[in-house]
Amino acid sequence: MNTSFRQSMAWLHTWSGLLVGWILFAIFLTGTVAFFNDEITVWMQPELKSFRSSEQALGHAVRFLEQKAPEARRWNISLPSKRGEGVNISWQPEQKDGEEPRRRRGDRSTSATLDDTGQAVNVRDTRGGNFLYRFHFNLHYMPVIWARWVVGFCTMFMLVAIVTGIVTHKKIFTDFFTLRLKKGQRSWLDGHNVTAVLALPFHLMITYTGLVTLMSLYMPWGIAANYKNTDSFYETVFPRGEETKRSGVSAPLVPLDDIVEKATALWGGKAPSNISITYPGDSAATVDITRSVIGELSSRRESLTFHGITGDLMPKKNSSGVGIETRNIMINVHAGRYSGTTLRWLYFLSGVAGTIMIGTGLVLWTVKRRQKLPDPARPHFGFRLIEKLNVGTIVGLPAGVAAYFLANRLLPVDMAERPIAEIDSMFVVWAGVFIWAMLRSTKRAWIEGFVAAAILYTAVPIVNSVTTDRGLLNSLLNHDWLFASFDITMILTAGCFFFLARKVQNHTPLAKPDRTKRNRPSSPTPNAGAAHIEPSDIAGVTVQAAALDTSK
Amino acid sequence: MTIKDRLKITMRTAAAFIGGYVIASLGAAFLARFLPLSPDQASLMGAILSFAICTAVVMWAFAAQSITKLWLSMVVIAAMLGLPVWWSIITEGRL
Repeated sequence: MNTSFRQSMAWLHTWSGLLVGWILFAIFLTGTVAFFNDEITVWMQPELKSFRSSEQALGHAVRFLEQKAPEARRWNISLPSKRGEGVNISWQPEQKDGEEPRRRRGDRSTSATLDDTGQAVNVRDTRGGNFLYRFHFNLHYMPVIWARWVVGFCTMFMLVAIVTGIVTHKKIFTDFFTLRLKKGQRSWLDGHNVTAVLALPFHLMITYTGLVTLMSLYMPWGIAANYKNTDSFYETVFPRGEETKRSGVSAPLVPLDDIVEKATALWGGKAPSNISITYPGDSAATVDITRSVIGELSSRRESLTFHGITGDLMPKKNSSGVGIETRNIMINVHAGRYSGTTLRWLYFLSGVAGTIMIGTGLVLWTVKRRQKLPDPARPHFGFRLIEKLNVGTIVGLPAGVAAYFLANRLLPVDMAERPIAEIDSMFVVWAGVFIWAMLRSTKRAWIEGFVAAAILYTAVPIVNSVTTDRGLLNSLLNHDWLFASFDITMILTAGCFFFLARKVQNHTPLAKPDRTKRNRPSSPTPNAGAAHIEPSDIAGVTVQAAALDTSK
Repeated sequence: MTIKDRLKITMRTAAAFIGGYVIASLGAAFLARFLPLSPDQASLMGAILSFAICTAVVMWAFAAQSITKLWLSMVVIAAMLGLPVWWSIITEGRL
């Protein structure tokens, strides 16, 4: 351990990356997919077709709610944005004592999706992209708070792994342009470096801002230093305004179109995304209107409150300052909520690079160590475990996501607990790949796993076109770019997995002397691999190998 | 790896985990108390910056030459951050 700074950082990079790599892989993959969570939800509810005018939609929504839930405590109307389609409405019944106040989002007994004519559409029940988004920080099958601590802990490791990765990397700029294929470990290292360095600002940003999104959980001590009671902090930073009480006198609700017009004017033309009405039909009704965040860098959803009868703007104090602005911008940059389609794809591709970076990093660990094993044909238990975990995670999770999409199309539409069955399908397939990896040799497991994943992804657009009238051909003909992009992405993903399966199939492990030969073609001394490292080989892991060998 | 090496790694890891979180937390509290901002904004900035502090401490835990010195320095830094916070809370109170 008494080695140079860079060597100790290489050591830290290797181990902090390995220990939490599998969870990080899952966090990165689902987070990457979640950049399109709204689009995925749209795809997973194919019954919904596009909507035209949002003004008309508002009238329909109010009429529907007046009939369905006139006594509700609150109505909520989500207006169709460019990203999502359809008007989603929900209502919160007046609470009776001892009743559970929180309801699951998308519960069909208190929510509906309306079509062009204001009728509720019978859409299949699904968590859609939101499940993948929530899995990204809540994981699944475990209490949310534990999961968030696990995720935060792993994210902190990730931050350390990234910063030590940079420190380890002397020639960061050269490696940016270096990808040596068909060179065994070198190629894995280059692949790791290229995906890491290419999107480095993204990785640093996404990791740090990820910690900031949940910082009130991880780091409450800044607040505790200034406030005896955290509630008074939240009241200062996120003022909720006066709590109103139902008056009991009925009064007609102000036309919501007027409110939208006023709010849009106050926001300089920016559109609202959400309207909620508290105590509708009562003379104490209030209307909260929230601005759309698309195109806004600061994630605080600016909202205005109007009187529900007179339509007058009600005063509200909003906190501002460097702290809250920094936090809001960081959270919004993390989630990319402000971004349009092009930027969103860039986010997605950077996320894919991050996922590959973690995957190649994990594989690199085993590739690098296999040759140094006492008997490479019969590795010890820890090594085998890591190999199996690699296959199970790197192949199993993507295969599971494909199964999640397939289950959405294949399960009976009016099945009970349908969303849960969809989610379970994902974990069943994921667990299946794990078990398969345990039973097969590692190489066979990689090949068969990749092929299975590829088949599942190929099946998604096929099953979609068979079970709905919104197959790829129809989508292209109808200029339905969301559905078309989804199906094409599935096909491309399948192609990548077929390609990977083929690569592993044709792969013959480089024998140990090959490495030496590459460095010194004329004198193939066995055991000289580490001693003959070229200057160009100085990248973290290799430095460490050299250090280990020379220190003896 | 000898037992001595394992012990060293354990000591460094413990320093990284414990020292990392404790110093980051005290750093957050220190910034929250002494940044020239309103208390709510300073509290947020302290928390935001604490993750950078944590990263630096973890790296230091594995880079430092002497483990004894590392632990001693960590205690000194924690005290330098914690005592002023404690004193200012005692004298000025919290909201």
